[in-house]
Amino acid sequence: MIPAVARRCCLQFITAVLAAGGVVDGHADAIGDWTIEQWGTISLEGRVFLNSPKREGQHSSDFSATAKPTVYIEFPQGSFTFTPYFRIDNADEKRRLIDIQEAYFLQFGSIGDSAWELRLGIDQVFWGVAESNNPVNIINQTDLAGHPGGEQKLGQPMIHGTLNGDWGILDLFVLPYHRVRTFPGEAGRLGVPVRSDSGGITYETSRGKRNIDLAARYGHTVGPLDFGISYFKGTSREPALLPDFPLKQQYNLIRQTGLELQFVQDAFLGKAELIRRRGFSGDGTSHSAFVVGGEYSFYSVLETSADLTLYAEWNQDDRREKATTPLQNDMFYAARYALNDVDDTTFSAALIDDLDYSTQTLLLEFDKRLSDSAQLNLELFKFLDTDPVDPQTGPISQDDYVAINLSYSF
Amino acid sequence: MQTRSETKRVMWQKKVSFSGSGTACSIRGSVASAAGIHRVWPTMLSAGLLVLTGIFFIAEAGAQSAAEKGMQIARDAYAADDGFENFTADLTMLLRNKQGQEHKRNLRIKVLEVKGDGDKSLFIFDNPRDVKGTAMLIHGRRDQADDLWLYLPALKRVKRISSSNRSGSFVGSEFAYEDLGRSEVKKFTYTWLRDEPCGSMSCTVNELRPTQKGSGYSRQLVWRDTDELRIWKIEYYDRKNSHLKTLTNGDFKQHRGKFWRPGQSNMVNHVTGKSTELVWENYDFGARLNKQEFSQTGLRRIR
Repeated sequence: MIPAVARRCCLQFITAVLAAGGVVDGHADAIGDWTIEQWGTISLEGRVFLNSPKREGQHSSDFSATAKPTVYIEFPQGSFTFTPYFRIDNADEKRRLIDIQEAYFLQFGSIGDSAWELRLGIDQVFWGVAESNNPVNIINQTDLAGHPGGEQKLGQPMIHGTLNGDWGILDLFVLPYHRVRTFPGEAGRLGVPVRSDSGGITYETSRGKRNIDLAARYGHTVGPLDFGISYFKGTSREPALLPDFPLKQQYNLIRQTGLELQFVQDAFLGKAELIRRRGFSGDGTSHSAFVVGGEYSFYSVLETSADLTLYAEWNQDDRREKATTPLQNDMFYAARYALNDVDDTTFSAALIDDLDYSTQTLLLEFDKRLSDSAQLNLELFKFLDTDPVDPQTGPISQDDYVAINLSYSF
Repeated sequence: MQTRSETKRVMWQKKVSFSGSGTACSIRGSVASAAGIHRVWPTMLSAGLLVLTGIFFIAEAGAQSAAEKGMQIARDAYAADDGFENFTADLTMLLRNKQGQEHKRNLRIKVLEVKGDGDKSLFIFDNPRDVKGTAMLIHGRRDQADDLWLYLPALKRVKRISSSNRSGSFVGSEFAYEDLGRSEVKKFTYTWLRDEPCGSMSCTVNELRPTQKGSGYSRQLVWRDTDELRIWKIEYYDRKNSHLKTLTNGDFKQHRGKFWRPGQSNMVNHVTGKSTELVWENYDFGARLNKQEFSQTGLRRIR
C-alpha cells in the first residue's frame, strides 16, 4: 500500500522537478582530458509530532524539501567538486538553509611508494567507527536543525593535506573559518530556542569565527585492527549554551585528543572511540567521553538472503549530569534487518537506555528503494520513558515524531 | 545449519587424510614390519599381503593423481593469469526475477595484481543513483580472510566490514561475494573428475571444495577448456549438496595477447528461478593504477 502510494507521489514529484528544472539529469560529458559529471538528490520530508508541544507556538508538524546537487569536474591530476545544499521548511525558519557542503580543488600525486593529496576549499570529513555517537568526529559543524541525530553536517573551509603509504595515513588540516551550529527555531522542534543572531554568539578568541584551527589524524590498519589517533586545536564545534532565554552560544578554544579503534573477527566488529577535551567550558577544565561496543552479524537468516546485525554500545561522558550530551551514560542496543533484495529493504530498531535516569528512547527506521532513482525512508522517534529529573532530555521530552522521507536521486 | 556443515567439513577432512600419503604409508609400514618379524608365515599369505599392498598403492596413486591433477589445473589457470598487473572494466548487472522483471546495476571495477598475495579490487557503483559513488575495497588474502572496506559517500565514511559474509548476496544479485574475483588456489581442495567435449572444444571438469569456513557451498564443479583454461561453466552445490546455481560464461576476448576475460556471464539460481547477467565492457589492461588507489584514501577520492 505505502509503496504504491509513494511511487505515484514520487512520479508526480519527479515530473514536477523535471518540468521545473529542465536540466535534472545525472550524466557525464567529456571534453578532451576533462570530464564533467553531475548527480544529486532531491527529497521531501514530512514530520508529525505525536504529543502536544512543551512550549506555546511550537508546531505539531512540518514539511521540508531539500536539494543537494553535485557538479564534478575532473582534469589531469586533479578535480573540482561543488555541492550546494538547499533546505526549505514550512514551519520553522531556522531550518531553512543554504549551505555549501563541498567546493574544493583536489590534487594528488605520488612520492616514491607514498601518495599525497591536497584539498583546498570547503569539504566534509568524517572520523569515527561507532554507530550511536561519534565523539571523535570534530572537523565539521553539526546541522542540528537538519536532523536531531547530528549526522547532518555543514561544509567546512579547509586546507587538507594527506600522505598515504605502507606506514599508514596522515591527514593534516588548517581550518580558517568557524561555522556556527544550527538549531531549530522558537517554533521548531526538537529542542529549546537557541539564539543564532550575532548578539547571541560569543567567542573566546578575539579573532571570532576567523580563528585558525588546526587538526591532524594518523590512521593505520594492522591485520584485523584499524586505529586512528587525532588531535584538534581551535574553536569548539559544540557551543557551551549560556543560561538565558533564548539560550546563547559561547564558543571556547579547545584541545581535543581522540582515539578510534576497530577490530574485526569473523562476523564481529569491536569498536571504541575515546576523547579528552580541554577548555570546552572556558574554565580550563577537561573532560573525557567514550563510546565502546560492537556489532555482530548473522548472515542468510533462516536460509533467506537477509542479514541481521545486532549492536550494543556504551556511551559515557565523565561530566555526567553536567554533560552537554544526552548520551552521558547510556546503553545503545540496536538491530538491523537487511533483506538484501533488489530494493535494499532495511528495518532498523534502536533502544537508548539511560543508565543514570529512567529515560528510554526508541528509534525505528525503514528504508526501501522504490525505483532506480526513488527511495523511501520512514522514521519513528519516541520516548518510552522520560525521567523528569533528566536534564539532557527534559526539554525535548514532548517531541516524539514520525517522519516520512521521499528522495529522488539523479 | 552451521553444525551440519561443520560435520561435513570434518567428514571431508577424514576422507582427505585417509587418501593422503601419511596415514596410508604408516598403515602399510606396520603391516610390512609385522610380516618381516613373523618369517614363519606361509608364502601364500605374504603374496596375499603384497597384492593387498599393491591395491592400496594403486588406489592411493589414483586418488592422489585426481587431487594433484585438479590442483595442477587450478595452479596452471592461476599462473596463466599471472602478470596482468591491473585492469579496469565497466560492469552492467541485470537482475531478473522469476516473473522476468529486470533491475539494472552499473559498476566500475578496478583490479590490481599483488605479487605473493591476493589481488586488490575496487567496486564502484554508478547505478542505482542513490548509491552512486558507494565503493567497496577488497584486499584479497592468499591464506586468510580478505580485508573489506565500504565507502559511504553521503556520510564520507570509510567503514571496515567483516569479510565473513562470503556466502551473502552481492548487491541483491545471484552472485555471492565468494563468486567474485580470482579464486586463490589455497582456498580449495581439488578433485579432477574427467575430460569431456564441450561444444567444439574439450573441457576438463574439476571439483572444488572450500578449505575456509563460511562458504555457502559444499562443492563447485568447474568446466575449463583444455586449451586456454577459460571457465565456461560452474555448478554450485549448497551445503546440503543440492544443485543451487549454475554460472555460464561466454563472449571471451583475449587482452594483451594473453589474458582471457568473458564479455558476458549468467548466473541462474535453480531454487528461486532468479538470474543475474553480467555484461563486461571497456576492459583496459593498460591502465596505470597506483597501489595507493586501493587504500582508504583512494576510497575517499572515488566519485
